[in-house]
Amino acid sequence: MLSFLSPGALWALPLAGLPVLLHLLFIRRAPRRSFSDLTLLREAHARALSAGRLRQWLLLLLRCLALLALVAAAARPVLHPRGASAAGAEEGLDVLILLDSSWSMRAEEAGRPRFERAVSVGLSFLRLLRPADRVAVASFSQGLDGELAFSPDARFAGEALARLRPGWKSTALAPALESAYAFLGRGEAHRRRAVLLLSDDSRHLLASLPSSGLRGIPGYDSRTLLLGLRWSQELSNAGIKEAAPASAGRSSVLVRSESFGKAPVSTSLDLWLRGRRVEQRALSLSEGASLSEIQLPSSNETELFGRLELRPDALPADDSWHFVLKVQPSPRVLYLHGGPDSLAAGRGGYFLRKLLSEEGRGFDAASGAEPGRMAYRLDAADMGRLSRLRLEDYSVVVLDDFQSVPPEVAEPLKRHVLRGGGLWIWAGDRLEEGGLESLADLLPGRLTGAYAPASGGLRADQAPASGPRGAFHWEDFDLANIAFGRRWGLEPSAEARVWLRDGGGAPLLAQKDFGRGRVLLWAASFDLARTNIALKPVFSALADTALSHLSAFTGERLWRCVRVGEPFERVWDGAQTAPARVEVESPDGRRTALVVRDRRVLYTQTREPGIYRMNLLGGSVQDESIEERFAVNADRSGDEGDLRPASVPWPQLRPEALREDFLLAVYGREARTLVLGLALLFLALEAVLIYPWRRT
Amino acid sequence: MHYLDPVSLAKLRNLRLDLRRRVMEGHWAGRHRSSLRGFASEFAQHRAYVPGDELRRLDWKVYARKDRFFVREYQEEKSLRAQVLLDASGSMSFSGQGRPSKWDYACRLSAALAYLVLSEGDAAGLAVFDSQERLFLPPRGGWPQIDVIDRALADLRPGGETDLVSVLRRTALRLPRRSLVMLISDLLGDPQEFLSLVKALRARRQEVFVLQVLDPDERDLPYEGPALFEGLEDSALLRCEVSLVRAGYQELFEKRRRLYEASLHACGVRFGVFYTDRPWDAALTRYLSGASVC
Repeated sequence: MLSFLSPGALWALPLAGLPVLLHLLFIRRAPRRSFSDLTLLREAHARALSAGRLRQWLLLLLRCLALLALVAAAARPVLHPRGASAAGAEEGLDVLILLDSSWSMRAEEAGRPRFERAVSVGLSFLRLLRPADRVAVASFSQGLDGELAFSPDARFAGEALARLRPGWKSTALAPALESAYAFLGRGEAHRRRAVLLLSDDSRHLLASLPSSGLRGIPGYDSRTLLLGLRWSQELSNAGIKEAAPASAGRSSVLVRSESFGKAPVSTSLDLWLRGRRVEQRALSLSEGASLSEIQLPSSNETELFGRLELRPDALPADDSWHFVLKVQPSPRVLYLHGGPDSLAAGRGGYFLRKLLSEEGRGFDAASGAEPGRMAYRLDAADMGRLSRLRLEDYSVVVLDDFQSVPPEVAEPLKRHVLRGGGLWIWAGDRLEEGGLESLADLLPGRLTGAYAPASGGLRADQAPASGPRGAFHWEDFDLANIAFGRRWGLEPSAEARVWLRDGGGAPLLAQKDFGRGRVLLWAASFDLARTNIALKPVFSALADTALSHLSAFTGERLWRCVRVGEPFERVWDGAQTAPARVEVESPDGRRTALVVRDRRVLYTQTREPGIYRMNLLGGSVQDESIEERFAVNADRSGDEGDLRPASVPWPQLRPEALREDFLLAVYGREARTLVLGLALLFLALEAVLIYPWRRT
Repeated sequence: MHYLDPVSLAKLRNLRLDLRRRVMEGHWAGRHRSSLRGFASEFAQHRAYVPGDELRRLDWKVYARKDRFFVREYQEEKSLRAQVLLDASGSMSFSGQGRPSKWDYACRLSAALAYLVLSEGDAAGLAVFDSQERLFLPPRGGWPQIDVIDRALADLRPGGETDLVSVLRRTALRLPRRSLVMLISDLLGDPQEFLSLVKALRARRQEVFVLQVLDPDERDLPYEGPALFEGLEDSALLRCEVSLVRAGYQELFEKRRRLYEASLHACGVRFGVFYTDRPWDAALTRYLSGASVC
């Protein structure tokens, strides 16, 4: 049986008739000569013909055969001495079909995903097998997806192959081949072994191999024939490698894109929020990585979710990046005062309101604050209206400008602190001696009486030097010029920490943990009549540090994105209300109910990219249902999007010539050298035959 | 004259057709010995008298010495009747590159031979033929005959096929016995028939000269590569590779030449081969001196 690896060269077969054609042209171009008498010529010609006609025909035949052999050699003939049936009659072939199910196989070639085409090739391949052959089918991405076993016959293997679906994991070929070698190595030693790797044979595939190549794979067996697949098209691809929030305080997302192949690529970067495109930007991607920044729109929402999307190309799977941005709710601060003019200009409440945002004004959840203001929302109320307020709604209560704290006020405040709230007490001018007796057990110290300090200045002691807006150094502020006209003496309790002291070293601000909450005591007033600190820049740092400490507000934005296959874990801390159970709805509509144990839930069924919705049910949440979301994206840690063809160290089968390539690779022997030898033999014979003619 | 210009005539003056040793029959007394014995001619021999002999032929001086009767016999001198037979077939028109055609060469030879015959006081005639007799000028003596022959040759052109043997047979048999026949041809026909005819002529006691006129290309076949040969006599075509047939052709050619040479020599025929690349006068000189290849 004879087949050809480059049958296109057979179009040159008519060249074999070239000697005949030349012969005919040669005859036609013979010059006409007049001659006296042809009698002797005819006789001589007849004698010459009788002696040389056979030689002439042999020469012509040999030349034709030599050309025929050269053309056949160019067509790369393959000899199958015993034919395909004979091949099946041997000991048989153990074949393992490894189908790449990584998401790069979703790349489309001629409008059809490569995965589908690979399955088609696999099914065609199964039809080439003989009864004596055994076949096993498996898919792989990060490793083998399932157990390996030989199918009873090719039909079952075909059904198994047709059932396979592409996944969303990246490719790791080495573990799959290691398993394949181990599996085939358990078979009978005298049988032929082959692994048909139905992958895209692109560069990222080689990148997943050890540096030493196939030989570096444990269990590598050189007798096991590894066959790949040759794709007809070289695909160029651009995709989003990764997206993450920009640096803190900025409401934008950094998008890292990668482009492989033809460059530059003109595309667009779209921002979709809640299924609606909110921004589109034109991009020109050069080969390699590119960084883009896209601005998030202003919103009051604490959870932003959607996707970033490039214009679809050869591999649409990496053209979108799903994200969920969880923004910590802005703490609410209750300014509780004892007099109607506490918020008047020059008073401490006035300056606090200037620093913080107010309810009803524009507040940006993504950025964390109204421009120029801290990320807190301020409510002011008279102490007498405390009973009408829900302290649970506030993270911090600032108590200012009061004479004393009556028990009906102290008790809710204690419960507030015990629950985890913060309390900041400003000891103002109106405070009476013993006015804080009702809060004595939660105070970080005891006020010993008001006095005018002899010297000004401020000094940091154990005060933290960071807030939601970043770290700072107290020494960077001009603390020496801060003056106090009147202040209270403060004796810190044993468990208290002194944050600030005045220029004379007397404690001025002390902190203490109480229950799950924290209490700060400022032994002075912020009124302009008593101190100039409210006019100094340090006031902003002081307020930010104190309020963030008391409210446990960090300004952190949670980027809830995991990779396919990675579990998503949700932990509720003490300040949060944990549900009794959750129900997770995947992008394909599949719902999974999970019970919350130890304020923690773990969801592992992240099988495909998209936005997963988590409904918080039961527990203290009671009848209200709260939704949270998290995003899942395909594993883009490697260069899975690099679809450029690689020089793989194994023979590749062409889908359009699967049978020939397979037979050649497994059974066949290319006979080009043999045919070339035949051509040389024909030419040598021709030279031998032509020699006497030349001599005469 | 067309073929015998003054230069040619000057060359011919140095030549002589020596036929003294040849025995001819003719009507006019000439310089050649006659086969007829008589009284007015050169003494030949004595023989014994037999009854019936004329008494005047008795040699009385011998009788006086021998006392027996002997009759004197004489070699009677006759004029030579020479007939030039010229082949005018199509093959005679062949000429190699840069050389005169065989026909032209043969015409010069014909005229020259006729001149030499006439210059000896003999009679010369001309017969031109191809497959038929195209011209016949009976032998005549006297210088006007050369002019007649020259004009006749000038008016003729070769063409047609050769039937040398049959034409020769008809023509030569019309000649008287013991005349001189000078055949000028390329002799490319069947040699066996030709030789049988020559033998027949010789049997009639006719003196025969054979002059074979050839072009060197007919001997060497100096062409290269493929060629489509067209015969000049029958317009037949032959396509062949010259290099393939040259050796065989030359072998056959040489074989035929040897056959002519040997056979004609055995018959007592003076045979000469004339190649057109050599001057005709020099070749004729060599021929008349006895060389076969001129």
